[in-house]
Amino acid sequence: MIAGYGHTKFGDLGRVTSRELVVAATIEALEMTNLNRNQIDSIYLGMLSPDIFEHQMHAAPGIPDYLGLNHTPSTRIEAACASGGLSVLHGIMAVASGFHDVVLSVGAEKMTNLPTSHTTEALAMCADDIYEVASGITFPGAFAMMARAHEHKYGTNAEMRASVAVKNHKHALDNELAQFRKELTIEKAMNSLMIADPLTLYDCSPITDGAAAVIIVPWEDRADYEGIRVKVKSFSQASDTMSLHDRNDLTGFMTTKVAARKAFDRASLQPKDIDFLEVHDCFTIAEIMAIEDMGFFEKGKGGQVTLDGETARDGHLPVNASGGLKAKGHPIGATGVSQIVEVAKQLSGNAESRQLNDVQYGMTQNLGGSGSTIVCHILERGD
Amino acid sequence: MKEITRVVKAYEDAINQNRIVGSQCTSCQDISVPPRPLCKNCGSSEIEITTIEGAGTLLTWTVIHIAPPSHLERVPYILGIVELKNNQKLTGIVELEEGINPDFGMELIADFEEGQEGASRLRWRSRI
Repeated sequence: MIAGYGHTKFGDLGRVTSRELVVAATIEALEMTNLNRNQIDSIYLGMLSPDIFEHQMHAAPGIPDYLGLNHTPSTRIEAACASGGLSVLHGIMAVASGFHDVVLSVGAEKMTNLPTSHTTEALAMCADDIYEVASGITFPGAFAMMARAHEHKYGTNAEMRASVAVKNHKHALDNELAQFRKELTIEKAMNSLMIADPLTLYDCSPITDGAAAVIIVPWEDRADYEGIRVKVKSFSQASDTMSLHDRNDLTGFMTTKVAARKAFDRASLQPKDIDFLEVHDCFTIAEIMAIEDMGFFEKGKGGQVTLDGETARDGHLPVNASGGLKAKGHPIGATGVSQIVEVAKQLSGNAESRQLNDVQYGMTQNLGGSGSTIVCHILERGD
Repeated sequence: MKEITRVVKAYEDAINQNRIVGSQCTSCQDISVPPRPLCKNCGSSEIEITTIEGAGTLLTWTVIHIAPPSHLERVPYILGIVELKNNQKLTGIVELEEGINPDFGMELIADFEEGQEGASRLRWRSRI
């Protein structure tokens, strides 16, 4: 179960290292519980690229180092933008196996040190270097090609995509940790700078610094722990081809379908049982495809239902009440952990002004590369 | 010791010679472009490198306005996914003559840009 969480402010945080961000998120998480840092058995650090962003390889031991822990094992997990979700998944597996009792899964990224074109280049390295990067692909470009294919097949237009951004910006107004806390209009989103046609600036998540942490302990021992009680119902992971062009369908992610199905099966739940979602809206079209591929809406209807408000905080299936990657920010390694933090906040009744009513199950979908890695989790409100 | 099947080198060498190659499974005959060390249909490691016709149709595309440093001087450029005749696909820059716009199903032929190496050489142009 999740016993505690911590989350820094997301945004351009200036001169600070990812290690310092991790310490802040971890101390906050520990302080929710009756645990002290010396009780952490193992650390899983989700991080895309301390090497490129901070000129620091071997970042994992830097975490116990700065936490003042002697010899605690620490492992960095890299799965592009799914690094954080995968660090949580491995933390859960370590506890579920019985090998560890107290695990820290933490994600972080310090991205704002580099000029934008260099950050774009670094992120593009998550695509297939031989066949995609050499051809001049960017991540906005990859998702733009999917957006065009989705529009061609299902009629998902710029207004529908913009409605994802408008919704998530509105949600972020109630999240004091979000990078952007300003309302957005459909017109402004549609008329913003073209990044990769048809995706404009407001179709894209930003470049962000930040960290998020969770403390994972055995559900069976819950009586021993103070803090929150959010049960891990299930987790899942799936992989697909490195290159987008090797997929049969360019209007969605088979990995999302496979991972979501596994998560539902392992939890003995169905989409109708889930009360709210945090999904990987690195681009507006990605949220539309996610809510379709996870099985919540018919394929091709994701844009229209978003425009109709069905996925707003007051809709029948709230999606990204936190503001999502789009408005909360997307510090790559932190993102998947941040999704878990948001679900844990909602399920423990700690989401303050954005608290959703009567929620029992929340689900996350964290995406790496052009959907080459997907990680899903289903969490349940504890007693 | 198992011999290393160098499919990437085969692809890059071929592109440098203005050809596109794939791998063909010697047992089930399935073709993969780009080439793969194991047949993606039957898993066999018995593959042969085979030349593929450099022609296909445009499945989807974008126009890149914000590019990485390696492509900054090219913006804006069209990047597309091209479906080859054997249902295999490749990503590449599409260069169209003035006045011609990209379209779904547009027929394209492969071209190769001098001064580039490996996969970066591949360009797609409209069939005139």
